[in-house]
Amino acid sequence: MLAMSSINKPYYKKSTQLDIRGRVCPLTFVYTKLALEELKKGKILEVYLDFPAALKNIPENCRRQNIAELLEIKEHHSDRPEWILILKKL
Amino acid sequence: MDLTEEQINRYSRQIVLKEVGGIGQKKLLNSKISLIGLGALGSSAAYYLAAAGVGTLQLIDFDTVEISNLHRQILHFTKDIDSKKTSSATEKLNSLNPDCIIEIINDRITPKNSKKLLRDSDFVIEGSDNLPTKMLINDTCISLKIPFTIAGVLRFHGQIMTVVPENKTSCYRCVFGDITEGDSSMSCSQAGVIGFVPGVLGCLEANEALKCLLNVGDLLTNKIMYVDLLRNSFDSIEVHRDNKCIACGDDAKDLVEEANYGGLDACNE
Repeated sequence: MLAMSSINKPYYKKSTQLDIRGRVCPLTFVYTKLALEELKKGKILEVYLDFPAALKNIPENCRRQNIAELLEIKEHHSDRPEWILILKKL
Repeated sequence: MDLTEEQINRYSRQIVLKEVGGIGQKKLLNSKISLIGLGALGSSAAYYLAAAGVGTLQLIDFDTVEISNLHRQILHFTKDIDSKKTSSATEKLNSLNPDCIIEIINDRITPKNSKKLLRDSDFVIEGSDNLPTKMLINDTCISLKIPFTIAGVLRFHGQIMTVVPENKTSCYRCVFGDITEGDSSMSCSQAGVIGFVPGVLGCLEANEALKCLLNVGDLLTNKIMYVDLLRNSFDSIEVHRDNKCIACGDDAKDLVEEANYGGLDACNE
C-alpha cells in the first residue's frame, strides 16, 4: 500500500489528490471525471490508483472527452503495484 | 448537492458519458418531467426516466388497469387489474429507483387544470391515446413555454415530434391543424397495436426529454419521425412552423381557454 504520508504530500504544488485505490473500471474513470468537474481549467489532479487497466483507460477517456491531459505517470514499488496519474484539467 | 456513493454507482454508466457527467446527473436529479398518460408510451418512458435519475416524475392519468392493457403497458401487472394506473406505476417506479420522487394526479387533464398541473415542469411527455389531449398539451406547453414531445402509435407504426416553444419550432398544430375529433376507428382498441411499438416510441420520448434537459444532441424538432417496425424503418420528415398556426403562429392567442377539445372541456365538472 502507498503510505498515507505520501498521499498527503502532493507531487505538484496546489494540486488536488484523488485516492481511488481499490476501485476498478469503469468507476476509476467515473470518480476521476467527477473530481475533474470540480476543478478549474489548468488545475492539476493527482489520481492514486492500483487497478492496472485504469492506467490506460483513464487517460484515454480523458483524451476522448477532452477533459484532461495526462502529464505524467508515477509508479510506486511496494507489495503490489500502485500508480499516480498526474492530469491537467482542460 | 453532491452525489452519494450509491448514486455514483447507480448512474456510473451514464455519468461516464461525455454528454452526462456528474454535472448532467445532478441536473437530471433536480429536474421535473410530467407524463400525460400511463399507458404503453408512458410505461416505457417512465421506467427509463426513473431509472436515469430524473428527480421528480409527475404522473397524470385517471384510468384503471384493464386486462387488455397488459400486453403493452408494462408498468402494470396482472395483480394490478382494476387498480388506478397511477398507484400501479408508483409502486413499480419507487421500487426501481427511490431517488425519483413520484407525484401522482388521479385526474383527466383538461383545459381547466392543464396549466396548473404542468406549470412547474421542465419537460412534458405526451403519451395519451387521443387527439384532443394531444392538442391540449400542445397548446398548454406553448402557452407555458415548456418543451414537450408527442408520440402516437397504431398497429406496427408510430410517430413522434418534439416542440421547443422558446425556439419557435414547429408545433403539433402546425402539422396537423385544428383536429379535435379523433376517428374512433383508428384507436388502438379498434385498429390494434403491437406492444413493442409504443415501447420503442416511449423510449424515444424519454430520450428526447433527457437530451433536452441536458442540452445535448439533436431533438426531433421541425421534423416528425415515422417508425414502422413491420418494415424496420425510422424516417424523419422535415416540417415547418406555420406563421399562421392558431397555436404558435405570429398572431396566435392563448388557445387553452378558447379552443374546442372535443369533450375534454366538459370534464372535471
